[in-house]
Amino acid sequence: MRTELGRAALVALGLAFATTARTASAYHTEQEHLTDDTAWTLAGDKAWRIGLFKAAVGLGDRVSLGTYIWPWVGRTPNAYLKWRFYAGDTFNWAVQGGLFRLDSAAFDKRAPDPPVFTVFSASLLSSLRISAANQLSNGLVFTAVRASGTVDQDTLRGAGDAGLTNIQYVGAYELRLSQSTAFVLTGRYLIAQVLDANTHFTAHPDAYTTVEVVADAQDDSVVNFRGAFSIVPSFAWSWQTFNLELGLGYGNFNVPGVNFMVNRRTLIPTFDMYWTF
Amino acid sequence: MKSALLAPWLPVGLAGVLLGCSNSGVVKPHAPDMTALVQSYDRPTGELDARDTADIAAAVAVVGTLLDNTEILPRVRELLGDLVDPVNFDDLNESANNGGLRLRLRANGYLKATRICPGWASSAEVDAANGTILATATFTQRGPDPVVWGTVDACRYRVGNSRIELTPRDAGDALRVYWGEGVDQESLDTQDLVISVNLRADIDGESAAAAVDLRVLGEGALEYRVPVASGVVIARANDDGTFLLRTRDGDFACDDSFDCDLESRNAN
Repeated sequence: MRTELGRAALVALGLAFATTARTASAYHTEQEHLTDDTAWTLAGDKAWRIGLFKAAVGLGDRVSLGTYIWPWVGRTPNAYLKWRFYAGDTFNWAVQGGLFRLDSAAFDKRAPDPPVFTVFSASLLSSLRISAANQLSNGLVFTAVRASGTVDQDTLRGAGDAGLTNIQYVGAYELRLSQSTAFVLTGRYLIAQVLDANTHFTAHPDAYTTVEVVADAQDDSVVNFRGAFSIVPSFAWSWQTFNLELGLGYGNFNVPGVNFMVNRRTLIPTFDMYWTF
Repeated sequence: MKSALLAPWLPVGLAGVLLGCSNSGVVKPHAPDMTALVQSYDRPTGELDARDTADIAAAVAVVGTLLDNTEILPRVRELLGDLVDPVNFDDLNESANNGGLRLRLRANGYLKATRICPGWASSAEVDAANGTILATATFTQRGPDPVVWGTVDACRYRVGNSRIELTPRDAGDALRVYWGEGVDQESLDTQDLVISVNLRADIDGESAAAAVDLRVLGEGALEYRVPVASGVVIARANDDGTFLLRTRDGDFACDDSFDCDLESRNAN
């Protein structure tokens, strides 16, 4: 996987340089901005974005409708809608809502009752134009995951459903080094994460007795990593249509779209390429 | 600029409303309040009056005979054992610990137990036609909540050669048990229980109302709550057939016919 990513990165870099040679326009502009983890939406004469991880269409200058592609690749219907409800000279504010439906049967057909995950996310994002070269974005991301299926646990066993709710803070500082190159520092902090599970099952302690149990359980330290974080410095190159992001950070990796942070701190390579047109 | 600063409060407010309205979790059935009954066993309000002892002896004898003839207590204990078993979060915490996790679990829920009665046949059989005992308990991550309640539905069984049938006296709870906080399978046998029954017991065709309550102490002794003219006194049955009468004025040792030694008083 890493090798494939590395090969893809080299290809992307090659493409990037090749594209650089052809294009002379500058594309970190007052009209065009990075849209990931910022309040910005597709704007100006760009209405489409298609890349490795996302595809989106701009509906006017204020609204983007999109879907996550990798690693869900068609097996997980999902969509997000972003509305930049305030557009000023200094501040921009946006809200974003997203919905995933992940049927794990698409990934593991052997499970007898594979859980189905429904993920709802809502974000409040702001972007502050400190200067032409400095942009600071802040976001609060609320994500609720609900899974239904079989709970395979002695105490909470039987048919059931479980929910994972988390709130993350995401900050992104963008320093425009040139018209096509920007340095981006993205930080993410898991403010709170709560697991709750509901189950109902029937126990037969002996031949005479039937006990129906309805239970829910919650844990606010699930997987014991409240306070997870990541810091990822990266470079974003933007040309006429082609955009490339490369970076290497550290912390708890956040699964894109579903906003679940992995319970282990590792190096976090970032790589994305997309086209806007 | 001002509007830019105010702009986020609209979605924040909406999100707050949504979060505030979100309600996950089980709606637990409401347990009956047994606080006053439990407290009355700890604080008897009646005083010892020699004129009451005959009535006390008769009341204790009636309840004792009913318990012996119907063997309700062991059946209640069996049912409680079935209820406490599924409410055990130790295995969840243990499996989490084995996986390197420490849970700060908050749990809520309830159980409804249905126990089929053994019937009148000489050998017990599993047949819903023999009636049932039904019980409800609620719980948190700390274990079962203090009160279990339920009813009976034409519950038939044998005690020796006698045929017993228990039916509810009215639409209310036929059975209430206060078993306190933190009960588990290990502590159940030594836990103080306050049991209140309100049912009709048919013993070999003779029907008797059984609207009584009693406390089963951890060591197995039974306490009966007996109303007298001055309030309520508690009669504790000792293994040797004697009694300890607990009153507002103190405790008195009494023989098997409730002839009490007024000099033996121990102040409460």
